[in-house]
Amino acid sequence: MKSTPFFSNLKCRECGRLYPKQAIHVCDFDFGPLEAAYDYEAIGKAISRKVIESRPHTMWRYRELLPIDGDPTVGAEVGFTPLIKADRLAKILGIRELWIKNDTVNYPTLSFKDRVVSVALSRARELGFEVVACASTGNLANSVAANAAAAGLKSYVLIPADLEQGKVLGSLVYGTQVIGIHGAYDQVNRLCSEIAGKYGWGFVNVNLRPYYAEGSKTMGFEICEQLGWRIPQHTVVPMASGSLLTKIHKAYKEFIQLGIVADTPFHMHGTQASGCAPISHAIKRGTDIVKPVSKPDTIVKSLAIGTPADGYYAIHSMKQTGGSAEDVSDEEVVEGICMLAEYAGIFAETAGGVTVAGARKLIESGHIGAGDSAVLCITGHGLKTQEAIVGKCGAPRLIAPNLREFEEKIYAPDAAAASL
Amino acid sequence: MATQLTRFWLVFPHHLVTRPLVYELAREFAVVTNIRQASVNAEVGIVSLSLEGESEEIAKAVAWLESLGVQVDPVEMNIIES
Repeated sequence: MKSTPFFSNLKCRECGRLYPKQAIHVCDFDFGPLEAAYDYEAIGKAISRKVIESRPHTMWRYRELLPIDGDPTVGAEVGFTPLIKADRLAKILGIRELWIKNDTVNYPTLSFKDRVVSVALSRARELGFEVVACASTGNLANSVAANAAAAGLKSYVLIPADLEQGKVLGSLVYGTQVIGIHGAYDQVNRLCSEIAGKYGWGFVNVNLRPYYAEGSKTMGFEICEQLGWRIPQHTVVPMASGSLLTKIHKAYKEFIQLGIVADTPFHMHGTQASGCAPISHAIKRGTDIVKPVSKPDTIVKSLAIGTPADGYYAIHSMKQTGGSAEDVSDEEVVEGICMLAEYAGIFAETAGGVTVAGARKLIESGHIGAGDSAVLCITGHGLKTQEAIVGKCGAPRLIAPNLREFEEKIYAPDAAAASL
Repeated sequence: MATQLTRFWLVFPHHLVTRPLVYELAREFAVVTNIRQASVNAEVGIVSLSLEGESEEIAKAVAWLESLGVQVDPVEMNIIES
């Protein structure tokens, strides 16, 4: 495997100290998060629009901007999901132009997590890990289990013991070791942290986090390329830890720095569910101190992170770009899911409902101009959270098996013609 | 028993913001405290703190903080993601 000169170090986001490219994630001095740093001069000489366009349609077409040394060995087919122009949804939301970045069809587990996991596991292999793990209640677990299985890595998924079995089936099927832990959420958190610290396991969102998080940038790179090599005026991103928003922002900045896209004004907007909206509430209060939510209360489990690790940085991304944040009730989330399905033909999980309903509010309030263009990031498939909309999308109409009843109750040709 | 170094984020609710809890902690338990970052306003206090000591003593110190209403998270914060 050839080593590339592009990914140079890990770097503390707080103090800028440089660290070697190992399985570490926190600065020893100030506990700031470490993130990947690159040699942009070398990257600028190696890639261009033309070089990127010549490569296969996966997220690895931007590989110089991802934190691995050699070629990817896990998730080689991930990414390059469709960017869809959603004219009917644009009309309903009251905006001139609207695009959907559709990660509901990301390969192989139908969520954007495949992006981050494929980077984390490719790097885990380079670092010599034989066991990979994560603590997750849903999308992340599915993705680690599937990608590890495909790559032949042994994997463990840690979950709270009282998690519904239905939610872990999507991991068990891949043959991963699922470990239920008795205890409150914070106790489980702490145990996972201790395991990651003590044993030689690669925890994708703990000691491999600097690598893992960078995978999210590919969503931003793809958006720019699919828009014809430009940055969208507005990007609306669902926020859990806030990491995805900061990484899409980083992707835009990197493309500008490399001269791959023009330096045009853009705005990053974040959305959350009102039952767990620490980042949105901080933005609305005009502060960058994120007040934790101790008991999240929302149907949007995938965004229900009460102490968001990247909240502070997400707030700064939104402030720097003149963006804003919004949060929506569970009822609005369901409306958002239904609008996206009915007007764009995309069935998203609850986080997608948050994005659509949040965008509607941002357009109504003028934070996103009605005459502007926006991209909504839709991060996971609706089949994963069907329970959220059961009984809320109507029910089949039942008839006897004869034409008379069909015409009486369902479809009368004369009446249909009259209504044309 | 060997000593260990453990790193936490502490979140103080507003009614505890003015109480010198880190000082009290160091007097009450056999742990070395070391503040690495802090951000405090009238509503909330967020402190990054390392605790060095025997693991049992650290566990007792954490339990004491939690009994007072302080939220104690590992520096990684939310390990459990969706």
